[in-house]
Amino acid sequence: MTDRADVVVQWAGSRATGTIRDGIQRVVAGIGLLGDDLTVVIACAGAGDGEATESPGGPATIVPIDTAPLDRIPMITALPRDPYRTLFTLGRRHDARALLMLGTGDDQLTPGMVASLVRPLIADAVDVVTPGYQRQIFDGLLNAAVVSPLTRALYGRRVNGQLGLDFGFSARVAQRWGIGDEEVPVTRPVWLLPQAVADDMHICEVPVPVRLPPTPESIDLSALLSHVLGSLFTDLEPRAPFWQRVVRSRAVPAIGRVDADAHATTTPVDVRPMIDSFGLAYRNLQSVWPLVLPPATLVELKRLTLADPARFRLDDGLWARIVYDFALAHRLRTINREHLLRAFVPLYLAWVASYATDAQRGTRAMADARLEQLCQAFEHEKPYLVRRWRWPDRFNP
Amino acid sequence: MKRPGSMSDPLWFKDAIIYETHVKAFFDGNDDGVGDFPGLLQKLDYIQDLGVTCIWLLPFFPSPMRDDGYDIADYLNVHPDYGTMEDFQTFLAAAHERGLQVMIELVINHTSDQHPWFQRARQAPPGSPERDFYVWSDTDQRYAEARIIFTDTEHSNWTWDPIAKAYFWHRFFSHQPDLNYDNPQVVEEVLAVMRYWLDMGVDGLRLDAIPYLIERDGTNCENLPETHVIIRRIREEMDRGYAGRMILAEANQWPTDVRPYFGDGDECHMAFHFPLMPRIFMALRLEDRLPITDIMGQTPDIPGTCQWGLFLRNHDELTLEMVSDAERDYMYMAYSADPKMRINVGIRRRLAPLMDNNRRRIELLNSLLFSFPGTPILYYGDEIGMGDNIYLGDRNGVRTPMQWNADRNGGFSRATPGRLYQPVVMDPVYGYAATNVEAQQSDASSLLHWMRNMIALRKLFRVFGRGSFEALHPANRKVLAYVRRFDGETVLCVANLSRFAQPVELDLAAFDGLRPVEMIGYVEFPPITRRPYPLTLGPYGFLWFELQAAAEPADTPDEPDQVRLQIDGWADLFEGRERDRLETQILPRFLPAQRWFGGKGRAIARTRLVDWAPLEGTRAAVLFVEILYADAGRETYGVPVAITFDPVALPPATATLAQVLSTDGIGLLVDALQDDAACTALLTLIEQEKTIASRHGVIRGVRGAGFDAARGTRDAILPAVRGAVEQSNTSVRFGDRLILKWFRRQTPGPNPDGEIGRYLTEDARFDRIPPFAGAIEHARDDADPATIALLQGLVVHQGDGWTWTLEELDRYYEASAALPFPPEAAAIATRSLVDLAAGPDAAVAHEHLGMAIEAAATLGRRTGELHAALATSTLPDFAPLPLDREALAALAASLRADGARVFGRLRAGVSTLPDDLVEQAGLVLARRRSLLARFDRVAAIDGHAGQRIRIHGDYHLGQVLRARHDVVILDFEGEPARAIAERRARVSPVKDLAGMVRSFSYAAWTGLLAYTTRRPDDLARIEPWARFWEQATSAAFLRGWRDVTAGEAFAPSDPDAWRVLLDAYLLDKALYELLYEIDNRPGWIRVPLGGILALEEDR
Repeated sequence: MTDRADVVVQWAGSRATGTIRDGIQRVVAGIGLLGDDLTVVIACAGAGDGEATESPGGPATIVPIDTAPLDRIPMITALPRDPYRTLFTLGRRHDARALLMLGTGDDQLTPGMVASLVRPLIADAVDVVTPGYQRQIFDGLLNAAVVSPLTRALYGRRVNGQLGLDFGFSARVAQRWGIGDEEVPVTRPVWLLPQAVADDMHICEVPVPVRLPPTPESIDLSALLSHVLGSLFTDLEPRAPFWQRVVRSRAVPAIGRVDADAHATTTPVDVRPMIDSFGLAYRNLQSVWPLVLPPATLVELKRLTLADPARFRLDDGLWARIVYDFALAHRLRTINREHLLRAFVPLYLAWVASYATDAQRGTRAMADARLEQLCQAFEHEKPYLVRRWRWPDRFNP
Repeated sequence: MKRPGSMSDPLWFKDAIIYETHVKAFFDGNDDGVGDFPGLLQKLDYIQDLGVTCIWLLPFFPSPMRDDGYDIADYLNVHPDYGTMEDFQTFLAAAHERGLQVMIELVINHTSDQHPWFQRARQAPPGSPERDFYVWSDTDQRYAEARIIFTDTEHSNWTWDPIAKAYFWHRFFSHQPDLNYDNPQVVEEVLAVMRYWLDMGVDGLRLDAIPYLIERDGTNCENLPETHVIIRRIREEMDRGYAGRMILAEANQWPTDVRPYFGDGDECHMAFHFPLMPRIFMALRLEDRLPITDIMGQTPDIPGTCQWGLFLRNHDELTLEMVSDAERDYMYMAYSADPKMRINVGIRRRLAPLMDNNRRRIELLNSLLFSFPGTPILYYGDEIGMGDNIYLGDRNGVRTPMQWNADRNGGFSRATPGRLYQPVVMDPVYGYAATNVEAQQSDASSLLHWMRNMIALRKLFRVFGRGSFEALHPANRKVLAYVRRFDGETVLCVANLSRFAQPVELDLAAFDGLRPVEMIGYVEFPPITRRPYPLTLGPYGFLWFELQAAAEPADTPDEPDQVRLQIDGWADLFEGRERDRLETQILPRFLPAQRWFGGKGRAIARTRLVDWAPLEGTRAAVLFVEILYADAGRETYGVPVAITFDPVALPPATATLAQVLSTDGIGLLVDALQDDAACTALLTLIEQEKTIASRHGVIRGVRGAGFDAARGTRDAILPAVRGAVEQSNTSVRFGDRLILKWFRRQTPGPNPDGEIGRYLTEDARFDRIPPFAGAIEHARDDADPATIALLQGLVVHQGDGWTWTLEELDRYYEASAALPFPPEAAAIATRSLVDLAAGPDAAVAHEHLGMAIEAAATLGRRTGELHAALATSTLPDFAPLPLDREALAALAASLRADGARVFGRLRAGVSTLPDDLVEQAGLVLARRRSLLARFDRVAAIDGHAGQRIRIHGDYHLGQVLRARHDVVILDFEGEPARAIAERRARVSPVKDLAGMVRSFSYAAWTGLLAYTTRRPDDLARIEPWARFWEQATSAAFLRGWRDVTAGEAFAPSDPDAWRVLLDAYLLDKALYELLYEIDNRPGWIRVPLGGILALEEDR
């Protein structure tokens, strides 16, 4: 056992146990690409106890970690109960300079990606490395629609990969997080950026090829939205004194590059089922949406139900205000939170349909520009959230 | 078992919002008609939902209940009516689980006469330890100077006990004998009681009636020194074993008499601010803030770890002990017309009835409660506007059952109504059917919702609980305004105490440039300027503003997270591995973002560090940066920098260059003029005339002869205070004594401001300028030393000439607007300025302009004296030069060339001008030849035209300060855009005169435009008044100058020379202004265009 290690890596492993060794080798190779003789500890689900392999700095120690299936969380499997706490504890134990959390799945994991994620922690005094996945037009839509613009507007940092699988942390982070009784929760997937910003951590984004979690046969969209948005909205209350002071966002440094095809296009998507779903929900949720959304928004939604599908477009500002109103309703418990988040699903589908209608006609670069506009709309509408947060009142325009 | 408190932050009480309630009054859990702990437990969700953070429980101990539980018979138990000890502990745990703290009473001044201690004492022989638990006397004459507190029921502080056969002492009811704190055993027993409850996990203790613990002959037996010995003992005991707890003192005394109860932070953590409370009510009724500001002015500072407790109402009467007799009478008349409302020395009413149930008044008073410096304490039921019952005895009328719903007993209890400990309020206005929690929870516009929202809003901002307090003093006394500051948060609160709408103008010059954002609606208000800030408030309206930095312009390039430099010392940054990043990344981004950077609009090709020097004993250094522009121009800037690790005193983001990672941790590389230690080091450099070696030269401090006088007392600490952001320099004030001006753009050679300032201070002894106190020079390689900073004494003043003039103009236009324009004024408006200045002031000018005329004349005289002082020097760079034919010819040629260039720019830009200015511009262009011919006349001057002397060079109203009825002249740097040699050149003093006359013109038209913005229809009618004002003040100014300089060689004595020179310089100045406005403010071109056309009319 190596007492001190330069890098501690925690890898969620792979469903296919036979490929665990391959994955470990890729991680080790990635550390090797950094050039220095770095020692490494790899904590891996599914590894055998006492396994070892060679690493640039000497034998790399493999540490098995206790896992429990968390099947109720879509697309996240086989994680330790509190993976971040485990990682930070290991980091402190080994006095590591860099810590790396790698999500499940091995086939997209490359040595180059590992090196890209670790390098800023060692060479550039960065505290938190987030993955800047080079997404395609329809990748990461929940992140693009809600998570990224909302956290950008509220916390003032433009970070794209918050629902990513892979993150890097410095020793400074390990000294501050995951100590004491508070949970550093993986079950609340969007905790990381707000925490990093509030603690004034130095954040960077590393462009990496897109990495997707293993996709289950069927996705329960309602459960997924409930899980992600519930976490996002729950975090707003304790952090209100912070995010209400953030006036505008700024970019985080992007370190590294990936050659991605800005001109990539996509095959068209049939948006009609999503539009129909939205229209149906408009009729069926007449008793729910008015508890959350103000009259002006409801009128706009009604107009949308009558729109020509070819020109179905949910205005960015309107979408931002809808998300903010749901965040408020979540805080005020206007209705049961589970019901609230389920009532959000058709609206999300409306956004996806609107986005798809626009994006599938153009290139990836155009889609990115479209999403940048959306983020700016969230920032522009932030005062809408702040003033309603400070003075909840049903008598809104 | 000892349980910890629920809070780890030792100052949690500063951010707390306390909710006071009586267990018996809140909710009945067992339907016996009396509230209890199980009932209180059931309602914890309500309390948590309200948003309060700490529950204060009135006494719940076993007691005969002759003083509502303050007569305690057993300190270590729970009254059976309220439940069991287990019930209390369950409640306490549940409160803690919800994040609520719990504070209980520690009534230690007295006990019930039923307490076993007293029963034992009265039986025990005199002098025995048991007897001495209380204060006995054979007579009732001791401590005669002690007042009676419960005047309605008690006639003496002594009562005869037939069993003890002695009198016992009691400051309150006769059944509440006072404990004897001269007996150490009493102290030990009290400490044991305290430990008992703290061991259970209780978070706070309210020490009831604490001023009365000790009695001494010859005193009033209040606030005696020995009392504080006891309190310190209690506090020591608490600190020794119980972290995160709090003691709240009930000391109904004047603020200065309460102050000792905080000790040096070693007595009570909190104390009620009793005198403030009645004054809030008084101020409201009087519609005058004076009672509030007066008592706040008398409130002493308290230790940083201590806190005032603020309240509007509580379980007792609204006490009027701490007011004067007249004030008491007023309060009785104002708030308790019915004598039944009065008890002891106070008024036994709740908040809502005191406010006649006026919702706005209730909200206003609560807004004060939540925004004043201290911890707010809410009385149960006031959040829903509960009423009272003055027909109940003692203070029971304000202790009625909580009203939960419209059901039987107000939802408080299911018991038969007759069993209630007290009847529920049931009148039509405040009764439980109308005023109850359930109804208000379903009413989004209810007082309950309002209170919840306000509590939540207050909790977002720590400034309310921890910040400083500074009252503002607007002229309208019906408006109360104050500023709260803490840790970078600044909040402005404004409250209208009147039942009618009120206007107010606030002096917010100290916050110039900040944006007020109204907190509740998050609405931006217009930015603050140096002018009074107008607001209008509705009846009983209040506004809370966050003062935020001005928003960055939308086109500011996006700023990524700071570049992070890794350095172990300055050498790493200036000569090592990070120098390249400093020169190529950091400086090119930092410099254009600075207001003082003169190269805006020019593309930077490269920046290069040409010299640098650390400031010994600090984390600061001075850099000299050469900038090479893409247009091949070069400039050098002095950029002092510092590394700061101080998270509290962070400078503005624009003053930050980069993050720094060093062996000392992670810090910021900032503009050193934002760092207090660096500023102090610069002052020391001058004071001690130090010389520091820089990489390629030296930096030298120069101490002026006037330094000591300007600095004042040698040992006085002079804190560094940032000045307003300036266009070319950066100023730092040191206390109220000195100001350091850092010249950002560096040029070799002496800076005229320092050069002239030093000469005038030390040689000419001209005292109408800020005295020269010192300078910092930098000499690099073999170049001439450059002045990089100037130190001057601060002068007391009432604002700058420009601001004062605009205020005068506003009054002038207001007064003139309704008057017909006098023919005499018309004559003045159309006469030539030189002719006007040759004669006395016209009566009509004095009649209408008054102070402005006198001020202009004074300014003229002082300007003449200034020129005379500058002209008497024999120093090589100061001695006057002749203004002979050759010099006049050169002057004429230079003026003509400049003028022609400006006309060319005007012609080129006519098509881009606003429509209403095109005609004026065309007129000016049409007269181009005749205008340029004015310059030619300069060359033809034959008579005595004066001399060329050192002058101010950039003379206008913004360069003078009003000091009483005189002026102080500032800023001899000259026009920053011109080369140093040009600014140090000797020229005719008429140039300064022209600068000031043009400034009068600008002021007149600026004021006119500002005034008529609100009244656009008045523009045409008031315009002649503007011209009249301009002419009259200019003439007074010139006359004052001529009077002082008559016979001086430097002043033109030939009338024709005088006229021609003045004309030429006025035209030159107007054209310079035209060029500036074309480039920067096209809408303002009307002012110089009007000035040029007026000059033509003069001819």
